[in-house]
Amino acid sequence: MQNSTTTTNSDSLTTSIPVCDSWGNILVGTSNTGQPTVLKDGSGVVNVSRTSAGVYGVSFSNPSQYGSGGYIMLFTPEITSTPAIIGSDRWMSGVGGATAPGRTAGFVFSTYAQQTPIGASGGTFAAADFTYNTLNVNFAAFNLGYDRDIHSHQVANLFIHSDKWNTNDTWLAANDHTIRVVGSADYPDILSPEGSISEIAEISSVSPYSGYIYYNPTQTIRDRLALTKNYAFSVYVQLIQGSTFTMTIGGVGNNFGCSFNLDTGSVTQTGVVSGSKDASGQIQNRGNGWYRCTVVVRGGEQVYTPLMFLPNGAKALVWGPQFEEGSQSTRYTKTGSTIVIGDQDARKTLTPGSAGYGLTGSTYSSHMPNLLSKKTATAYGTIVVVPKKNNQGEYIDCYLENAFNVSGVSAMLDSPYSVQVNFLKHMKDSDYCVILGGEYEPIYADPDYSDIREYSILAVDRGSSNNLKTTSGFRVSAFKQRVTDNNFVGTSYSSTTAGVYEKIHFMVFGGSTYGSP
Amino acid sequence: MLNSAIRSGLFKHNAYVKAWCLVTNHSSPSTEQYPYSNRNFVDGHNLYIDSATQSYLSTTGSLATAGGLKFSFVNPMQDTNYKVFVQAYFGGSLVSLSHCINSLQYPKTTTSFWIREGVFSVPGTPAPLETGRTHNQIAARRVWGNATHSIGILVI
Repeated sequence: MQNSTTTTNSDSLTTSIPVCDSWGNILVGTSNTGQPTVLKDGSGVVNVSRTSAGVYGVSFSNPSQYGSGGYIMLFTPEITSTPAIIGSDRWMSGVGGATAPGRTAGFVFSTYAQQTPIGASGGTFAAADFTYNTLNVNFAAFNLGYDRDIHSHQVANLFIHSDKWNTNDTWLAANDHTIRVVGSADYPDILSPEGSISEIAEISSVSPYSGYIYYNPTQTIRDRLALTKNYAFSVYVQLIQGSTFTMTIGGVGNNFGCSFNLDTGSVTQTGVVSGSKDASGQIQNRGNGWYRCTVVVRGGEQVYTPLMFLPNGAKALVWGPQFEEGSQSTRYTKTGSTIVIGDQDARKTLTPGSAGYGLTGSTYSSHMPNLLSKKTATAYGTIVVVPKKNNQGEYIDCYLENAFNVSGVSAMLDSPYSVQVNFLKHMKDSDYCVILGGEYEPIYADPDYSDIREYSILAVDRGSSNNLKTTSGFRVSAFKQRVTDNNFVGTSYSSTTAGVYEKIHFMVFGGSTYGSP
Repeated sequence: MLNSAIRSGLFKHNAYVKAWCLVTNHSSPSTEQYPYSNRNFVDGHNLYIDSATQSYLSTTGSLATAGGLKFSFVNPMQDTNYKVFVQAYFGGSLVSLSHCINSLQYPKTTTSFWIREGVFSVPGTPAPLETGRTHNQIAARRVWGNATHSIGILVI
């Protein structure tokens, strides 16, 4: 058998479909004008640009999601050249996956060209442009250090100067309550939930409910609360004395909210609870003595002010107050003189085309009608390339393993280092993103050749006529280094003698087919 | 610190990702022989690097000792059909390709898997080419002293 199609189809496994946090299909440019860098399609991306030759920048639309822990980015080249034209070799490297300042809002990647020939004296690789319209970069980012599973993607803080304690324009104490900013001399063993000593305030009370800590109301919050939506008011609390802490929305005679018992974990409603003035609360243990208390309220017709109370004789440390639309407190966002509305991408996802979102043309092309979430993979699976037999020539067999929305995979007669993957439900365009990952069985029979054949540049091959990546499927090609001239060339997947196999894992994002009939 | 931040639990994973980690390099003596010795486990979920079961890795990419870097699951997989995506992050000339391995010597099991990173040219000494080579070929070399070089792993 010289060529075969798959023997395994699958359209199930829906419970394990991967979800990423950002993805994109980027046509890399050679200049910022005539041959610009273009985001063909994507999600969670607001801007792409070329910095210098072979160096490109990508901005996340939800950067605050990426600031609390590691994230993983995967890259795959999408090429149009035939293998003979590819000649020099190309692949990408993303600089990121770290939490260092400046890397939380996006990342940089480069396209590298092999400096040929690389002789016995060694050589280097350099970031370089490639001929325009011959290389797209597919990427997917997985933010894994943030509680993305639980919270909505909305990130906002409607407080201005959110952590300015005991100043006229934000947080003040009334009656018996006091408030003061503390430092390491006051509490040498206590750091904020994000590891700093700054911006922590101590509040205390000497008589029950005769005083309070209040946020000096701004027009911004009054305007927001005039709407009939849910709002989440949250703050990190560490009790020094006492066991309860109360948060309410107050004004014009009505205070309503919740009391939190941090010893028992119980939450009770307090104040006027009726009609639109109801509240619910939640306590989250954030470690090192800190609890995040959240009270969710529905705005009404009145003017309200966020308040915090302590019972008689109690004392607490507070940090990171936040006020945001929705029924969940998201990651704390420190604000300055203006409010912060962080993740507009969530709105793009939910209501494309409304209120200006999703209408940004080349920076965000959206076609969402049947998509449950644009960040959910629309296909995935594993291509298994089985070992060749000695008399099999250059042709290979392959099949699918654990696949979703893929009807089959075919080995190519015209290209023994390529396989064609076909979708069960077709995409609406060919600007989707494909992420590839290799799994190889190394061989040692040929010390001059076999080791480097293990390493592949896996690429989505659109073909020289742009006809191999379509709405119905895509082609994967593998390019391996050739000893004689050091170039990467298309090479059959498997050894003719060693009987090894290779696997190619893939994920597809975009295309808008998921959920369609 | 090798496995400093294996933080399993509620906030350290994506429900659709079975395991992940981010490891980076830190400076270490060039005589170091094991690939894991200069890896700094930055963050992750359900993965760890077990120093007791690693393999030797040549500084020059010797074929006989190609080696690899082994990752073990905290909670084992149900089968071996899980998908591993390995991505190297680098800047400058330290260009590499990386992937998951599966062989008798480096088996992919329900409890662990190996990855291998092929590096083209290593700045500094020793020379980027292995003795006897006539071209700069990709090989599993140990990378040392390059703090910007890191690897991300995603298992679904």
